[in-house]
Formats: sequence, C-alpha cells, structure tokens
Amino acid sequence: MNLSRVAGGLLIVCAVFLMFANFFATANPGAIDENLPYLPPEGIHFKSPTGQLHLRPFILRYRPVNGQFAKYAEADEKIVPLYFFVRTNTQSEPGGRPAWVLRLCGINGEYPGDSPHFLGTDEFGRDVWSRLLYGGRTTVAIGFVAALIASLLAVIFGLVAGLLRGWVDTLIMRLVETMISVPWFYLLLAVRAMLPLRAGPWATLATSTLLLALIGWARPARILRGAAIEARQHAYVTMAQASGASLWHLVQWHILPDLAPQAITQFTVLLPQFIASEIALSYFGLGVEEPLVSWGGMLAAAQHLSSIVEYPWLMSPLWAMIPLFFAVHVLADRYGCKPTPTMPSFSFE
Amino acid sequence: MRVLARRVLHSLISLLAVSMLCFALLSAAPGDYFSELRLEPGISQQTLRAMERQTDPRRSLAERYVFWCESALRGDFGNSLSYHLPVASLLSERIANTLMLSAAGLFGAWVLGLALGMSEGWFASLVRVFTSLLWSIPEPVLALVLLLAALKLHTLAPLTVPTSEAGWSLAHFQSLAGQLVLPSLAMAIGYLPVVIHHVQRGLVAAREAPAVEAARAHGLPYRRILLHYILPEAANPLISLFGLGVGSLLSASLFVEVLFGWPGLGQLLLNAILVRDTNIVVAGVLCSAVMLIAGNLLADILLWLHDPRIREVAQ
Amino acid sequence: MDISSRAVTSITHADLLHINRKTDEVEPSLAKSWQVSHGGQTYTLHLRQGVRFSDGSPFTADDVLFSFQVYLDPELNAPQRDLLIIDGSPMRVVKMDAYTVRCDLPKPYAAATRLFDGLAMLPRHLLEPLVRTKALKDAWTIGTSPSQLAGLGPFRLKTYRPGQTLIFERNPYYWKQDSAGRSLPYLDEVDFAVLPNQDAESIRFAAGQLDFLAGLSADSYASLEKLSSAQSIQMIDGGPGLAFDLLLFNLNTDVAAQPQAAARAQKWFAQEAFRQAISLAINREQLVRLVFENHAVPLVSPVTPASRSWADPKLQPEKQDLPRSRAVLTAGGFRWQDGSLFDSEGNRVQFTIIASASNRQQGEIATLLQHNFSALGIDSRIVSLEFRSYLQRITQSHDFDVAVMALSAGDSDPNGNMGLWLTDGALHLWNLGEKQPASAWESEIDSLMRRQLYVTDRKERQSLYYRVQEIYAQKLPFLSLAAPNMLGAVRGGLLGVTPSALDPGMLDNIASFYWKK
Repeated sequence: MNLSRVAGGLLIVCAVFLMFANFFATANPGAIDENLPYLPPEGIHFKSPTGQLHLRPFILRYRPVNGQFAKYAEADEKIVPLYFFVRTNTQSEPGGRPAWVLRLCGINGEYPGDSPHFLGTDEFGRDVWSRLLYGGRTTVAIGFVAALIASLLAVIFGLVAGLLRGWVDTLIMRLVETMISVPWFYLLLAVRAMLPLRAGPWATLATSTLLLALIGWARPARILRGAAIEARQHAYVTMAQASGASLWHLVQWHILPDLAPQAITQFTVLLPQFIASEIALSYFGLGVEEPLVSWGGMLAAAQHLSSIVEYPWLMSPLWAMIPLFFAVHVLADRYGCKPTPTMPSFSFE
Repeated sequence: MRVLARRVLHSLISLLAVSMLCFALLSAAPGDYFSELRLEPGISQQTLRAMERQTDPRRSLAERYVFWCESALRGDFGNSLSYHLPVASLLSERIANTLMLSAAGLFGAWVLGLALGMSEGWFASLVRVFTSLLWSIPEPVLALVLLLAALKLHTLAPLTVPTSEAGWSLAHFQSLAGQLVLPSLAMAIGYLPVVIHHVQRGLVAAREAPAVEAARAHGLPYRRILLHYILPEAANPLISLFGLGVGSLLSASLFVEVLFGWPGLGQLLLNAILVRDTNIVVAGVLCSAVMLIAGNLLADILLWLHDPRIREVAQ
Repeated sequence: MDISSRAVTSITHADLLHINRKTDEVEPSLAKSWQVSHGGQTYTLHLRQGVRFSDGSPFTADDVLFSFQVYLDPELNAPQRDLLIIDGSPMRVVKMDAYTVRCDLPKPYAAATRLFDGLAMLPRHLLEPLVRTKALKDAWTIGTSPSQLAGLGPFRLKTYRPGQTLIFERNPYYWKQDSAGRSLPYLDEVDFAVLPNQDAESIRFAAGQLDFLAGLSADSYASLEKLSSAQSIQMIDGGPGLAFDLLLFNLNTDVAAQPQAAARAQKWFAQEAFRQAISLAINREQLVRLVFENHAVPLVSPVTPASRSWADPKLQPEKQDLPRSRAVLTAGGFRWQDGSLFDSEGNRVQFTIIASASNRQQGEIATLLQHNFSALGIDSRIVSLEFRSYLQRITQSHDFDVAVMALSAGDSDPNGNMGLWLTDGALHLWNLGEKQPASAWESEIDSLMRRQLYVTDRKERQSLYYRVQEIYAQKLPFLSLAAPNMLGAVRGGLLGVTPSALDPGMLDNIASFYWKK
C-alpha cells in the first residue's frame, strides 16, 4: 500500500520534529519580544529583492511602523542570512546561568534573543514556529495517552458487559447512558474546585489527561459491547467453548482479536476529539498553563475574529494537525482492519 | 412488548440517576448564582445574604432535590433564577429550535458522508485528507470562518429567528431556512468526519465479505454489488451510529448554537451552567437524556427490521 | 448588543435628578429644581407637572414616596437599599404637596444629589397591590407582560424573548424635549440582540445587522476597524472609563486550612517592601501596548482619569525599574541564588496567579506579569478559572495567592469607591470581611473616607481623597495596572452617541440618538 507508506513517513517526520523540538526550534517558546507583536511570517528566500541569487538561504526582516500597534512595513532591502547548526544561549534573563542548545538554524541577531520567525509571532512577540514544536509534544502526549486509556476502559467495560450479560450488562449500560447525558463540564468545574490550586503544571496535566479518558470511554464502550456480543456468537467461539475452553482463554484467543479492529477505530475517533477538547479544558482551569505550551492553548488564544482576519498564521496548529490525523487514520485502516464483524451491536435487554 | 416495558422502566431509573448526579455535581461546582453580585459596588453583604435566603431557603442538597422532584412532577420544573420564568415554558421553544437545527445538520452530514465515504481509488484518499482537515478544525474557528464567508458573500441571514406565532407562511418558512443554513452547515461539517470514517471502514470490511466476493465472481455490475451486497453488509454498525446521532440531537449542537447565536437548548443550557441556574440545567440535561435513550431505541428497532439474524436472537 | 438589566432600567425608567455625563454635574430630571436647607440635611425637590408614565397615568409625589418605600423596604432587599442608608439610618422622604417632596438625611451628605441618579421612579398604581401581597419580586420582572409595565423613560418594552431579543418602542408620553421643543426620543424603536460573544457581535455589525456596539475589547475594536473599512462606520474611543485592572494580593487572614505554601506566600505579600518590589517590576506600558493595543492608560491608583478632579495629580504611574525593585527586595531580606529569588528563611519565592478564563485580557495580563516576575527570579504559575469558580475563590473561600482582576468604581465621585476603601467594605477584596483595620494606615484611610462623606466643601473633600490615594500609593495593598478605554462602534449616520463613564455608558442619552436624513 502506497498510501500507508506515505502515512508512516508523515508520522515519523512528525515524531522527529516533536522529539527534537529543541533542535528544530529557533527560539525559546516562552520568550516575549515586546517590540514584535503579531509579526507576519518571515519566509526563507534564495533570491534577493535585487534579483541576486544567494547560496545561503536568508530571510527579509519586517520593520515596525513607528507609533502603530502591530503594523509592519514590507520586508526591507537588508537580507539576514541563516546559519545552520548554531549554538544559542536560551537563558534570556540577565544573571541567569547560560544554557546552551544546538539549533538547526539561527541568525546573527541584532539583540539578545533575536531569532528568525518562520511562522511569525503571537500577541506577545513569541515565535509561533517554536511554540508549534514544543506545543505539539504536550498535545500529542495528552491526546494519545487519554485516547489509549479511554479505549482500554471501553474494551474492558464493553467486554464485561457483552460477555457476562444479565444484570452486570444492564448496570454498565445504564452507567454509560448516564455518563453520556450528564454534561461533563460540570464534572470539570467540580474537579478543578477540589484540585489544589498550587498543584504543579505536570499534576494538572496528568489530571486533565485522566479526566478526558474517564469522560470519553462511554460512547466507545457501547459500540465495543456490541462487537463483543457478536464475537461471542462466531462459530469458532462456540466450538472452542464446547471443547471446554475457559472464559479467559476465549477472551484472549478469540474475542479480543475480533474486537481489536473496532477498538482501533474507536481510538482513532477519540484521538482528534481529545486533542480538540484540550482547548475546552483550558476554559475550566484544567488546561495546559503557561509556561508550558500546547496546541490547545495556542488555538484557544487564537480562535478570535482578530486572529482570523488579521493574523492567520496564529492558526498554524490546525495545519500541523492535518498530516498527523491523516497518518493515524490511514495507518489504523491498514493495520487495524480485519473484516469488521457484521453482527450488529444489538440486544433487547 | 414486555421487553419494551422493561426498557422503559430501566430508562426511568437512568433518568433518576442523571438528575441526582446533575444536582450533586452542580452543588460541588464552586460559586453560585449570586457570585457576580458580590462585585457590585453598591450592594452590602447583608443584602446579599438576604437575597440568597429569599430565593432558596432550603439549605441541604437532599431537601433541594426533593423540592425539585415535586416541581418536576407538577410539570413546571421550578423557576429559573436568571429569567424569573418557569423552566418548562423556557425550554419548549428552545427544544423545537434545537431539533430543527440538529436534524438539518444530521441529515446533511449523513447524505454527504455516505456519498463521500463510498468513493474509491484516489478520490478516497483525497476524502481522507479532507476528513483529517475537518477533524482538526475546532468548532469556534469553523463557526467564525463560516460567518466570515457569509459576510463576504453578503448572504448572512438576519438575526432574529422567526417564531411560529405569526403562523406558518411561505415567507416565514423561507426566512427560517435562510437562518438555518449556516449553523446546520457547521453542524454537518462537524459531524461529517465521523460519518465518513465509519462508512469508509465499514465498506472496506464489507468488500471482503464472502457474499460480496461471490457476487463479484458472478460478474454482477459494480453498482449493483455496491447497493445490494456491500451496503447491506456494512449497514449494521452504521445504523448504530445513526441511533447515537439521533440520540445526541439535543446535545450535539451546543457549541454551534452558542457560536451562531441560535436560540436553542444548548445555548440556554451553557449559559445556565455558567451562571449556576440549577433548575434550567437539570431540566435541560434530562431532556437530552430522554432523547439519547429514544435514539438508542430507534437504532435497535431499525436493526431489528434490517437484520433477520437479530429477530432470531430476540425470539 | 449586550444589555444588562441596569441598562434596561435606564431606557425604560427615569430618575429625579441626573448626572450630566459630560460635565459630571447634577442636573434636573423628573424634579425640575431642588433646594438644600438645614445645613445640607434637607433636600426639597419640585417635580415637573404633567409628566405621564408610559401607560398614560400621571406621575405625582405619591409615586416618589412609593418608590422610596420599595427601595427601603427591608423585606424586599432591593439592591438600591444600601445606597440610601446614610450613617446607619435610612433617608426619609416626606410629601409636601402633589408635586413637592422633601428628603431628610440623618447627616449632611457630600454627594447627596448624586444618589438620585439612576434611581428609577416606579408607578404606584401598578405596583402597590403587588407590594401588599408580597408578590413584587416575582411579578415585576422583565418577564412581565409589557402591558403590566410602565415607566418614565424614553422607551417602553414591546417584546421580550428571554436570552434572544428585547424590543423597545418609543414612549409617546415621554416628558423630555430637545432644545427646539420637539419631544424625545427621536427613534421609534430600539432592538437589542443578545449575542454569545464579541466576535459574533462584530460580524453582525459588519454585515449591517447591528448599528451600535458598546463595550468593545481592544482586539474587537481593531478587527472591526479592519472588517468595516469599506463601510461608513464611526469607531468611538471614549478614553479611560471607571473600570480598571488590578493585581490583588491575598492578605485575608481567615484562609481556611492553609497549606504551608500558601502561608509562606502570604508572609511575603504582607511585607510592604515585597509589594513595592512587585509593583516596580511590572511593565505597565508594555501591558497597555500588548494587551490593550494602546487603548488604555497605565494606572498608579484605582482612581482612573475618568474620575476627573478626584485623581491626585501628584501621583504618576511608575515605570518598570528592575534595579530599584531588586534593591528593595535586598533591603527586605530577599536574596538570589542561580537567578532564583529566595526569602530570608531560604524558601524559593513561588506563587500562583489566578485569572478569569472568560476574560481574554486578564489571561494576557497574567502572562505578561508572569514574564515580569520571572525577571526578578520569581517562579509564578497561571491558573485560569471559570468565572464563578474564580469569584468564589476571591470573595468566599479566599483560597488563592494573587489574582488578576477587573473592577469598576460605581461613580466618578469618591463615594463610588467606598466599598473598596473601607475596611468592612464589600470590595475590600485583599482582606475581605475584616472587622477592625489591620494597621494604622488602614484605619487612617477608613477615617479619611468616612470624613469626606460629610464634608460639603469640594476643595476639602479633594484634599482628603488625595491623602487616601497617597497612603495607597505608599502601602500598595493591591496593584492598579491599567484603565481600559471605553470603546464602541456606530454605523455612519446614527448620531448623538457620546461616551460616558457612568452606568449605563453610551446608552445614557439614547433618547437623543437619531438618524441623519
């Protein structure tokens, strides 16, 4: 399959970019540059405005228009060459211990902390490209872990309900219905109230991840229960049962493999949902907080009319999500897809 | 029939649990309806306390719950703190608006989703990229982009949603339809990737089913195979999904309503949660729970009609 | 546009005396003149004759008496009640004849005439039966059918759809006339739409479905300017209003079940030097630039420039001064290690900043403050909370370290800030519910504020209030950051809209809005 190769490649590229965010970033993601709010992206050029070709790629800088907020003049004549594999000091505070990192590229800055802005800057003059890389780490981690836990919970509850049936099944299904109907932001408000205010950013992060998973398992559990009921009715399961196989044996060798494609589908459906709900979480004080960066946080700050009309580059996390979701879906189709069981998720309890 | 009766009984228990949980969670959420008044420069603490006592003298959670149950049995579901009106009268109009919007959105998503999901070859890959794109756009951004597009095309429908008070005329219907286009489009787009995803996956699996292979071996034309063999083969999970969709008719449109200013249940509910107007919240949540249960029932009935195997199991 | 119930009141009702929003002086309204006697303790108001409610029934002194009776009724708990209680005893209102009332104050009161502004005169003929049956609270709300409502304002309610629209029509009985003798209001109908957020408002405005937007944020203002460049739209920047943003230290002493970290943080906040160092570390100009896109002014005290003659001219906003801030900290026993700040007991200085998640500006302010603090080696965390959870922490549980807040004074007069300054005031948020002043300077502020209430000489009041601001600027119980400008947008051709710092803002003179022919 050609498509799945493309998808695999994309996924690897994404992973490399996010894993080595330190190296690919051009600036400290939290560094504020108060003179450059909402700077438009600075493209990489080879050909100068005078028509001269350069071997070394360069950027053209924007100049702030005097006295106006976030207004920049078109790139001026001066070209700023890019250098590769540069060692940069990321400690911007005077008096702090210098912290050296290796960056893929950088410029000879005019002032400390000066860097190229390939994707422009946000409302505080922070570099969007660097934030995109660092933010992706957090977001992808939350999304993957939460979707994984939710799918696991769904498999467990679905299996138990679908195999044991009877009152256990009824109980679990009632629970699922309740979970789906209660608006979950209630729960978030209550949880945030109980969580100590001074919990570290990582503790909040873990809580948010867990919460997403705890809220998200109900819908897929319904579907997986149906799949479990079906799987149980397959001829080979009945045969294995007749030959005295234990329930655990049945689950391990016959039912779980049957369930796997459905579970993977559910995982791939949950993943984008969870990455998106990270934005909503920040509304309840459970999101990723500064100085940690996340795509959810970036989008939450950018989903205003002013960003769409005037500063579209702030939407770059959206564009970053497209290849990621595409790759995950294609790969899930390729490797998770055995013929889907055709018996429906149905029962008259 | 007996099975059905039992199901209804179970559902009632579910609803009871939902209402209790709602109450408990709301009381655990910090702040109350009067929080904002605390920042009013002219109001003293004593006055505030007196106002609180006046609206809700029943202090304990259990007492308030019992009081609420009484009002629910009376049929008015208590009074709203922010609108000073009985909740039932507020909800009925909103529910109609939401059903209109969600039904249009759901219908659009299924029609488009089935059409796009059944595509093959390179077009299917294109659809996949498109789906990933849709999946990554948060609803607020989508809503803003749609609004802006309508603005640029000068097709933004006017603000007020017409009521049926004036009677149902053609002009009335037209203006209603004009209003519905944008929000229901946003809903359809939001739901579309889920439908496409399930249709695509269902079809991939169904194409390899024995009956389909057999049909192909007989040399039947593709269109016929698709309609008579592949689709029925893939239908069951889709019917379940459809049931879930119908079940979420009242709850799925929340963000779209808020962003487009559509005066539906979701908008009312979200606002009520933010200002802690308990009675509206509990009643609204119960309505969407009833819808959810009804949706599941519908899916099961459809499955029962569609699949002879299920009828056997049930008997 | 967004409309609060107070705005509804100002459209449908009228007051006895009214503050001119341009000159900030009290002018006749329903009362055509007034006299002060008994050394400022008695106010005699002469009502206009021939004034009618929007249902056609006449307005007399009985309605005035009835209105005060409603506002002062201890069982009705009207929010206006507290304003009319002066020095512990309520204002007494006596009817002299059908068109004259006398108000007796327990003490001469500095801003007495300002009390009448915004105090809606109610129709006795409609409401008295309801008061008798104790049903006023439920019956007299916006949900009441319009035929049961009557007011003295320029407009009357025509239709109300909860959470959607409010439609007002011209009150044919309105009593005010313009200088040419034409009856006001000019407009026949005013529709208010309830919209979810400012983005939705801006788009509707740009599409020509709304004609007037008030209370815009700086970024909506900028995007609207851009969106509507092709149309004829007038953007309004009315300069700073009475609202201001502040950083609140938690100095409450009743924090329940304090964790150790909170107790440590409170110990720092209690030090004057620490608060001053923090104030010096804040770059207010940067904040005005980046958060408010220059549509705000940096502040030195909670008395914003909209308070005109009441702001102390000697006080000027401080510039960020990190070396001085460090020097102040060093003098206070703080020290640095590897760039991080430690207190004299060797604890790392760390705290949490809370902000309201529904207010974009507050979140941005918090981010900039965090950045400013890190320049001092302070490790601060931002937690943005849903609005009511956030308020609950500040006003009720007192479980927070510092908070970014937006507050607004009730009036440009010093009396509008009583709740903020007085130790037992409802807005004394840094130490709420305190019974006794915690320190000498707090009791000095208390006594100064109480004294100015009863001083009728304006110059003397001014100097008293200047002294309060000087004490504040020295002690800094909370930090005033910036006062955002009052921003709005009007469709070209709609004239008569003027900015106003007092409630209800730009809606105040809605009676004289008109369309250019």
